[in-house]
Formats: sequence, C-alpha cells, structure tokens
Amino acid sequence: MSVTWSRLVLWITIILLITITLLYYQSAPYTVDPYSVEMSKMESLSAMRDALVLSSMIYTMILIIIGVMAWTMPLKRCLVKTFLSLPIGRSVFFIGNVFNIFLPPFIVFLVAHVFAGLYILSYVSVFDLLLLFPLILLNTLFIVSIVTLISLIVKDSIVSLFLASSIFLLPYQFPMQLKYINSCYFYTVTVAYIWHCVKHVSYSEAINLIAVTSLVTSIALILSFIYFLKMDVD
Amino acid sequence: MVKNIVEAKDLCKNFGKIRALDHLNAIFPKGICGLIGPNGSGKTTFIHILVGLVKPDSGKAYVLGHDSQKDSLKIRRRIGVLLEDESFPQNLSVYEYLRYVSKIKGYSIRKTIRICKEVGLYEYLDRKIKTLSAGMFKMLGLVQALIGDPELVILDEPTANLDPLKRKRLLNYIQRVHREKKVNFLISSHVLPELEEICNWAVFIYKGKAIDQGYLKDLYVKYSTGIYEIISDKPKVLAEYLKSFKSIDIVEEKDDVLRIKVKNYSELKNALSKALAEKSIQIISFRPLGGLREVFSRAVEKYSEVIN
Repeated sequence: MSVTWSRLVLWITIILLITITLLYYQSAPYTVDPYSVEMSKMESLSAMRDALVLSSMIYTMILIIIGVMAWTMPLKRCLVKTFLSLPIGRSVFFIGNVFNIFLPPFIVFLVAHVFAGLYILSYVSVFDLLLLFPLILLNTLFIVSIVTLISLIVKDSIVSLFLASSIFLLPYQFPMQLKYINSCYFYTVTVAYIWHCVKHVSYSEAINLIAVTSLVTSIALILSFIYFLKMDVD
Repeated sequence: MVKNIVEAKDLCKNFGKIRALDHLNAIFPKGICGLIGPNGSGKTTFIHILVGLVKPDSGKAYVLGHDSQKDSLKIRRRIGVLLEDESFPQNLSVYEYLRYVSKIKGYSIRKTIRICKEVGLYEYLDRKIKTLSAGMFKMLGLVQALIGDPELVILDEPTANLDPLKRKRLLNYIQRVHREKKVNFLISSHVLPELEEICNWAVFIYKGKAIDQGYLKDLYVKYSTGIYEIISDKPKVLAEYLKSFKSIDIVEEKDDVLRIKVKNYSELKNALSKALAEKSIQIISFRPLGGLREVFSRAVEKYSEVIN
C-alpha cells in the first residue's frame, strides 16, 4: 500500500509544485524585479488570490480524481471486499481511506502555498499566512466529503468523476443550488482570506461561507460514513 | 463450545427484484462441510452474509456462535476467508502483501512463509501479485485465509481456475490441515466430484433455499437409485463374496470398479463390513452411481415435485 501511495504522492507533488510555481510567477516581477513598480498590498493580495483560485481548480481536480479512484476502483476490483473479509472494521477502513485521499495532497498543497506566500511576506503577517492552514483544510475536506459521498453511492468511476467535476468545476451550467456549492467552495478560501487581510469583505459574509462549508462537509462525511457502514459490499 | 460452526436461520436476501436467499435454514457441524448448488443459487451471497459483507433482509446467521451482523469483526478474527472473486493490491509483491495480512492478524511472518512453502507459493514470494497466474492467485488467497490459525476457513469456489494437479494438491492440503490442525472448512462449489472427495457434510442449496442437508453417507442413501459403485483393492474377490448375498446383484465389473444393485442398504453395509473383516478387502471408494452430482440432481427433482 505504502509503495503505491508514495508513488502517487510523488507525482502529485511534482504536478502541484510546477503548477503553483507557474501561477505565482505572475506576481514575481513585482516582488523580485527591483526596476518594476513597487507592488501595493492590494495588488499583491489580489495576485495571491488569483493564484489561489487557479491552483485550487487544479487541486480540486486532483482531489476529485484521487477521491473517486480511491473509492470506486477498490470497489470495482473487489479489493474492499478482500480487506473487509480480514479483521478490519468498516469504520477503520473508511477513516483510513479518507485520510489517504486528503492528507498527501493537502500537505503538498499547503506547503507549496506557504512557500510561495513567502514572496509577499512583506505585505502579510506570518499569522495571515498561517490562516491558510485551516481554510485549505476545510476546503480539502469539503471536496473529499462530497466526492466520497458521490463515489460510494454511484460506485462507478466515470459517472462519479463526471458528477463531482460538474459540481465543482462547471457550476455555471447548473441550477442555483449547485452554483451556491461552487461559490461556497471557491470563496471560502479566497474571500475569507482576503477579508482577513484587507477587510474588503464583510465579516458576516466570510463567517457564513465558512459555516455553510463546514456544515455541508460534516453532513456529507457523516452520511458517507453511515452509508459505508450499512452498504452491501457485493 | 459451539456445536455447529455455522448456522443460518430463516435468512432472506433480495437484490432488487432478485431473491438471492429465500428463508434459508442450514447448519454446518464441525469438519469439512460442502455448500453445494448450481451457479446463482445463493452460495456466494450466503458466504458474504457470514463474513459480514452483505446484510440479510431478515433472519440470522451465526458463525462459531457469533451473530454474523453484530459480531462481524469478532468472527473475522477467528476465521479465514477465500472469496470467489478475491482481489489483491496488484503492485505489491506476494511477500509484502502477506506481511501486511500477517500484521493485521497478529501472526508471525515466519509461520506465514511456512504455509507458503506447504502450498507451493514460496518461490513466488518476490513476484508482484499482478504477475501471478490464476492458480497462484488462488493459492495466495488460500494462504491469506490460513494466516492466524483460524478455527474455520470459508472457501468460495477454491478450485476455480486451477489445473487438475493443483486442484488435487489443494484438496489434499485442505484434508491435511483439517486432520493435523483441526481446522474446520466450509467449502462452496458447484464442482461436485471434488467436494465428494473431502466433505463429510453437505448442504444442498437451490434457488436460495437449503433443500436438504446431512452427512454425505446419509444423503447417498436417501437419494440413491440403489446402484452403487465400489472401488476396492480386490474387486474380483469382493464380487464373488457379494454374490453370496441375495439382495445384492452385480450389475457390472469393470477394472477396479464394481457396480452393484442393492435393495436393502443396511444389508450392503453389513456385507462390506464382513468383507473387510473376513477377506481383508480394502474399500477405496463407495458411492452411489453418478456420485454426489446424481444425488444433488435427485434432491432438486424431489424438491421440485414437492413445490409443484
């Protein structure tokens, strides 16, 4: 297991680091070029927000793929059946698999952002930068919980991938409810973060977004957990 | 001490409109037990319920005295399972995977390697699981099931994909493990001749119902046509000896096989016991014509007659 995951994590790390480095490159002239116009705090944060949004989309896609594959492929190949015929509890298996899905990409994504954020450390405090941790964690759990629920119910890789991608990445083709999920997702990190740094967004709006995201995450995880405990692994 | 290793009480399971188990009642005493039925009769669903993979719609199943739904984890700590469509992490080597399973079951890897040597998997320990042949894949499943010295091993179609040599080796190994380690087996199969060789108890399952169950020798008598096949070390001497019994007719003598027709089974039993004692004849095999397959067919026919 460890061999398979370490290889996967290595690839994710490489992809994320390349992507995030490229995305942050757009803010680089302001911060490293001595002849460029000095970047204002607002411009710097705006660049960071853009980088966050763009890299979040790639991060989301990676999480969706890993999440869907981690649930549907073992179910399809009967691996879940094999493991659950050993003395492994269903709850342990579920929690282990959820951790397996979100922990490696989360750590890589967070570390990459913290390193990239060091470029603009003169504009934001260390505390501002550390605030990324709970927000990215919440965002990651939000995606993983929805993907887990979809994958467990649908059980088919292609359909699950399509559904999860639709919810997170193609929101404007869908009704308002799904659009709301998407806006929660993208703006939980960005809006809350920017609110904190520049007081641009109202306090209540940021808190609402975080509360809604937390609630949806909790409900989706609890439902997935109960469903997994009760489901027939046939 | 539990008397029966497995018990099913009124088990029902539907998958949509398909009724997989229909008020199944069955018991499996200690020993090597066979779960016999055609494809689609509900054997695998029953095994999945025993292991806790599938939840029954109604009814109860007990494994080693534990409720299969409430104490699923306790059961899985005491049993070994080889599922029909078993799958393993393809990128791991056989050794890595078995070390992982040994760790889960709290078993020494050295003992696991010893089992590998016994079933002929030792040479494949360094191979990736994805490179194993279908036969070796099955053997890996068997080793996994035997890790942890289980009290009961459940095998679902264990000989599928095995060549005759490996099949024979596997069946001999099961018998040896049962004899030496007192491990009980519940074997599900639709390949009846091989079950006939090793089982002492059988449950006939048909359309999700247990249509009959009992010791093989009793089922043979119950569904016999009256014609039996006897293989002995001295077939000619035995034939001459049996001719002296009025209720026994010799139907055919071919090579080592003696085919006889008998009106009274208990008389035949006595006759064979006497032959054993007086003439020192060793009975290698004794079964009704057509063997277990014929017995099962007759059980199904009888059940269908009753239903209709």
